[in-house]
Amino acid sequence: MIEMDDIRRFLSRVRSRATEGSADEIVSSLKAHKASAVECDKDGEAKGLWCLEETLAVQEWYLKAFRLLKVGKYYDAWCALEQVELAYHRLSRHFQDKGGTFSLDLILEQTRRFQGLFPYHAFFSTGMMQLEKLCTICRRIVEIRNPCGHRVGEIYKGEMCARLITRAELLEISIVWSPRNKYAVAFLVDRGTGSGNDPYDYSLLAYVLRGLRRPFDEWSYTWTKKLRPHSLFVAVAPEAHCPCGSKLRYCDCCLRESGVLMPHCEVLFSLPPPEDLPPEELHFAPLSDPAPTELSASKALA
Amino acid sequence: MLGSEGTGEGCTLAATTEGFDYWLRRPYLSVGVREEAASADILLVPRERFGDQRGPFFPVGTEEFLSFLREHAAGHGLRADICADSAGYRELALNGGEWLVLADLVVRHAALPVLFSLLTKYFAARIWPVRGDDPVEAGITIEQSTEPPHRVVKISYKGPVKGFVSAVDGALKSSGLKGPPQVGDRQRR
Repeated sequence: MIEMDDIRRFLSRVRSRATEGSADEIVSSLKAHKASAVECDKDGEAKGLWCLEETLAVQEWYLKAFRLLKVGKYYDAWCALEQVELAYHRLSRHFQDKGGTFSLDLILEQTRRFQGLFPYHAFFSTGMMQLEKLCTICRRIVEIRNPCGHRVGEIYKGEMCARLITRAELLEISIVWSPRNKYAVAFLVDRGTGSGNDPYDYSLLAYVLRGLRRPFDEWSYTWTKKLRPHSLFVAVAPEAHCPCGSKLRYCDCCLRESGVLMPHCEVLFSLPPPEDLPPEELHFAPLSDPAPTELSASKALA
Repeated sequence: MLGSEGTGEGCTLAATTEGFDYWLRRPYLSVGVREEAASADILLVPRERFGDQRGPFFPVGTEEFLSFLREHAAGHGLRADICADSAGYRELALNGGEWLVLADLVVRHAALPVLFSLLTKYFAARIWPVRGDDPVEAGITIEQSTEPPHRVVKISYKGPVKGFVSAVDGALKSSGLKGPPQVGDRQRR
């Protein structure tokens, strides 16, 4: 079992931690320390250990997301980034990483930055009537007039209290733009084979990932507009949607102007990106909808 | 509803007949619950229709909301309760959007300032805190008089959380109805 000081040291060195390393031994040691604290009725200590477990969860999900992004598994990375947010949220009620010892705020910032470049717009959302719930601490069925006393989100004997829905009725599945469950991304299905089909354009994310070497290399981006010549859009019919993303016809929009005012993403890397990263890339997907997915990226050094 | 009396930013205000008496007579309440809930100053009331769904239900998170109100209202000498039996209690969870939908409230006029202060605290303290521009949806029915005939108005608000209290306050004042009493009025009554 790893000593507590070593566990804290491990957690505080997340920025230099190898992205391929395993935290399994830390996980099992934290569990063992917590079990021992619970056995001795040391609730405060057990809660502190729960906080360290969640700290590790934030870090590990982030590192996993970065690894997945690097190998182009974008949807899996998206789900891992959602787990970062959830673990951070569970933890933030009980523990603030003042001074950035465990880099939790930085991880959340980086997470939101990556999420902002994903091309997902439409999500599925369920509407349900929850008929029966259990308290995860005492396993009692929730009675609204006779509450068990355990509060959702609080920590009891080193575990967070939640509600487990045991009976529900599904009412609807909607398509929404701003989902509570980010994993519920809308994908297409190939009618012939029935297999999933990912229609999204991840080229901007891929560009950024090519410019980053490590998970904690800092970067940022801003959206601007840049005028592009019509010669780039000869394949777009005048009656088609304008490449600028306005949803007007090309002939009623930018075709009347000197060029197409395209959404432009300016990426700023704090460390020089690899030399083979082009200074600018134009990504244009005229058939994709919802617009705008047309974008370009350029790098700049801080 | 008896008709619209006034509006504020993000707010509508209308006279209604759905005060404490209305809710305490709902057929799905047992006699015991009816008696208990009658002494409440703040009462969480259900919605009775969603699409094809009928019968009483509450927005998801009402259990947490009630628990918060019960605990904190008691510190001000007030009682919060819910217009539901345990057996018939259901929550509607719509997982799209960022809206926080609160259970509708029926409140006695004297308890209004405490309720406002508790709601502000609740927005920040809930498990998924809401702040600033986060949108909320809430309905508050206020009984303006303690003796019959009761003057009852319902305020509905849909907008950013930061504008909630001032919009509700503004709607009350612009309608010519009594604004919320000051803290302490209740003790002087």
